[in-house]
Amino acid sequence: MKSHHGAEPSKLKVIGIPEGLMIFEQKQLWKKFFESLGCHAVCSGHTTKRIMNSGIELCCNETCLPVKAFTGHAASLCGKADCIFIPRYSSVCSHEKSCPKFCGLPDEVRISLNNKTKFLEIDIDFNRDSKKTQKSLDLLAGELGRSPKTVRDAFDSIVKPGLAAEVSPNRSCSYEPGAPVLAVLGHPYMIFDRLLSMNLIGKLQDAGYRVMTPYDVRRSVRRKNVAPFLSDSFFETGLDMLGGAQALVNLPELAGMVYLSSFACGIDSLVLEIIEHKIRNGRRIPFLKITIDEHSGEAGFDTRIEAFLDMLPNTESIRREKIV
Amino acid sequence: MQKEERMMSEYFLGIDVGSVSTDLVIMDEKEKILSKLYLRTRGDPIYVLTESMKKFQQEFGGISIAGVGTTGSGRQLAGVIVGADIVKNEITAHAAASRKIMPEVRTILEIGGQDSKIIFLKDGVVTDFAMNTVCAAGTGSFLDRQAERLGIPIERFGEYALRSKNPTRIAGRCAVFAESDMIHKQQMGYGEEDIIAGLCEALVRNYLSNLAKCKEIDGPIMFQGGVAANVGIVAAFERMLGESVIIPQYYDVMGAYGAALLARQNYQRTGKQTSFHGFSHAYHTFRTRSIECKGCENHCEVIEVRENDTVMARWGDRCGKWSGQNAASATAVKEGTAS
Amino acid sequence: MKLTFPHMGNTYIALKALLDTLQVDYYVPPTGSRESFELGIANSPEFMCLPFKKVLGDLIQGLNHGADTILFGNSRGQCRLSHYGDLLQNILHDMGYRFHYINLNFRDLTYGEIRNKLEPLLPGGISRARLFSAVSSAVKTIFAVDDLYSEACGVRCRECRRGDADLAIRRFEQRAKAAKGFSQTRRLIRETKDRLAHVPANGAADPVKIGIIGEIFLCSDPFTNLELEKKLGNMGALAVNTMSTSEWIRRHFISAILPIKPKDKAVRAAQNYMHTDYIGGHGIYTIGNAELMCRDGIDGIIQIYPFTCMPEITAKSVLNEVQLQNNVPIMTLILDEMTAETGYITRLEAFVDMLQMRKDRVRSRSG
Repeated sequence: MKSHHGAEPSKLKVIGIPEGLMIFEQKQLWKKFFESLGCHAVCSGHTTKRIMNSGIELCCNETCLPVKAFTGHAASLCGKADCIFIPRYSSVCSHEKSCPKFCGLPDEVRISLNNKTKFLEIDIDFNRDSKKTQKSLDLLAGELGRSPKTVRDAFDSIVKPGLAAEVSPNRSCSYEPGAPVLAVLGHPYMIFDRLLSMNLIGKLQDAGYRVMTPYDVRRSVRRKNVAPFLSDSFFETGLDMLGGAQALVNLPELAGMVYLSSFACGIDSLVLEIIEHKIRNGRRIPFLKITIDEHSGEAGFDTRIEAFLDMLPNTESIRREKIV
Repeated sequence: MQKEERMMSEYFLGIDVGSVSTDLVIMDEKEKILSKLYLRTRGDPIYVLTESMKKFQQEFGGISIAGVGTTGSGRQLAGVIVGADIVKNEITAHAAASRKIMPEVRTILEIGGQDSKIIFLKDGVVTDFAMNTVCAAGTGSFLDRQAERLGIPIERFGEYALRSKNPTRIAGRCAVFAESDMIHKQQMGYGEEDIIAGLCEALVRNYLSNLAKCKEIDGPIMFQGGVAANVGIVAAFERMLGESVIIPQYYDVMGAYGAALLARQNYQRTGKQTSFHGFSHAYHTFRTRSIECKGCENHCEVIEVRENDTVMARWGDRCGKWSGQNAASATAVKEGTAS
Repeated sequence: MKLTFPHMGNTYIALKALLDTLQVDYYVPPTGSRESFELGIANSPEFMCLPFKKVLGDLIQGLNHGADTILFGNSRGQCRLSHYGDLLQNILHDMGYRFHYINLNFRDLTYGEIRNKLEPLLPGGISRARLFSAVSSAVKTIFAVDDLYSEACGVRCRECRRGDADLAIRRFEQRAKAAKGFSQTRRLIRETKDRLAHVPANGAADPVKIGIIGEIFLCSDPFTNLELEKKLGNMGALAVNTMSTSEWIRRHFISAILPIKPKDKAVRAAQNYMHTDYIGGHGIYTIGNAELMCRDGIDGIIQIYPFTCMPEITAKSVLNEVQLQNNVPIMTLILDEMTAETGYITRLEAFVDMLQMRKDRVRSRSG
């Protein structure tokens, strides 16, 4: 592990935290974690056009939009922090796994940024090997010049409980009974990111709908609602989608579902098919699948949403309500 | 050049049969281009090929052709019809031509009708290349279509683009999306010049992001293919690469020129007599047809080329049942591809 | 009861012999069938990976031909293969098929697992010893078949008359379909090897050596990879495939029954680029094998994977670095059902030409 050797501990005062992918949800945890270790944590902030474009420049074409955005976030921290922190999220709890891209993310970003800055990693692989985490925490302790115990304790008390939290930090809105609801499905770092999602949630709310996402459902409920599958583990975000969709589909106020996917996402191709299979064989809810990538124009995106909303049965009344 | 002189020396023929254009070059022993033809393929490569051979026959009927090379997506077909000594892919052919014109060239940008490529060289040797055949947004056909839609002749596209002060940003991974975004921009009232400049930029952006991502583009940079005539695209390239781009004199027939050069190399190396059938051979009738082979589960679509009434070659099968029977003329093709 | 199973390269040859030995009634979906492939594509989600579409197509063919039991399995890895089973069953049920699905655990493919899953199919049951010997023969056959194909690669690029090696392999494939049981299959392999050994070769040939890395289904399945090995060989290049079916057996069957798991050389070699031992699928081997081949001296490497394959995309992100560090060209080919064969051939030809030019230049400098 090259990045863990030979650094002056005193030099690593400011830690950069790129706000993308899984860290999008958990930046507060990591911020607190580093602050408790006496470091200063800088987050990269919202995704901007500039971050997005630099990520697109740096990454290989084949990877997905969120990874490109993440790389842009990391690049934006060069010069603002002594090192950039990228956890290797292989799995956050047993029987769950992340997208393979997360397993290689620290290396991918390091190479994309041409080793321009220093990187810190932590391995999180509770499904396959939780000892890896301990090992990587010890290395991190060496880098920061803290005792391994302090770092392990900080991780166990601050980060660990939040990795698979019951309640997500990102929730779309309060839920009022009786109002027509649109369910928005998608990875949290897509649907809650205004730029990546082209403000999908905001646009739906402006059209007079109440938006709910799987992250408005408690994690244990999301997990309980997943139908059994053959393998003994499943993609974490996939479970959120499957369980969340199943929980939301039973809401009487549900008017439709929108699935926001990034172009060529492997997990979505699988999860979408299972959800569509459920909808085909169960309550037939109007379902819109939107795929976006860096080439998507907002005009076409808006057109599709408008057309979908016009297709929903009780559109008329909502529209009238909005005018009043 | 005097007619007698022509009779004395040896010449080489290069043919590039692409999906949009068919280019032919006659080159002399000193590797100078004697004559070139650039024609639209219009979906009938055999017709275009035989017509251009007839044209050459009238003009250069008496000269001695010592070697023939074919390239392009129709290289195999052209090879069979004219009797080629060497059949090469477009990348190798383009690299050969650019290297001849400028030995120190480092990057070749090529935008054709249906595909586009980038070739990297060092000391005259190809070190890397990329080719795009899926995405139409980075090709000449895309520009043609948009020109038609805007009602502006494609030849004048460049000057329109250069007049723009503020190019419109046109989004789109593929031609279909880019087109819808362009229509949208048009309806929102953007000026023609800005839209055209935006299209040029979108094409160059797509081209670079598809083909040159994470790759060092070093100069000298040469830009060839039919689209190189478009000054708007040239300007967009120069702006985005921050370096000047060289357009060779014969930018539109570089593939054919490369094929001729490779034919000459092949001739020098092997000293073999050419398999060229002669220009007058173009007066024979050639027909192609496709047969679905029911020999196995693969149901290969076999292409058969007939000259008058004899089968000259068949290909397209996976097992070799048909292509294995190819006559001597086709063996040259195979050797060419294999060498 | 009639069993069917999907194709992956040439595994069917060994699997057929195994089922013959166990006296199970089966239907082998047609090999290299465009029709099956199109059935699979038409009924699969758009962005699912190519192997899934191929597998689904084969199974539909099997069910259409009277099969009522599907033999397949799932892994536990971080790739979509773990969920092929769920999706296949969903889709086939929605299409109106009724069938029994046998789900082998690929991650832990021990004799016990095979026995547990196959025994219910055998009306008279089967003794441990007989199953052990039959499965062992099947594994040996898979290795022998792969060995045959890699020998064909060695012959093809050096043969004096183009097509000799192809002809031998074609004869083999035709006769393998009719062969019954292990002994016939083995004899056939021996005869074909003999035939290959007698193909007149150009002794002076010094072909460029091209390593093949990437997603294992595509690497080992000539139908989906558009006969990559054969095409390279006919262009005069020696193809070295690192991801054959036997490689799969070595990783999933042999390592599952081994008491000690040896540290993988490829995984170690990958550490220069990826500080982890797992990035899903065989992604880490893609990087490791590329590095190992570069060290051993290879002229060029081709990475091949299906569009949207997650582990291979992750691996690709560092392959550029492998290429820079070792100065060995690596070309990535991403395949989907829309891949045009002409463009594919052009790329391969240009790659082989490029490697040949590089090799000639090195030779002319040193000589």
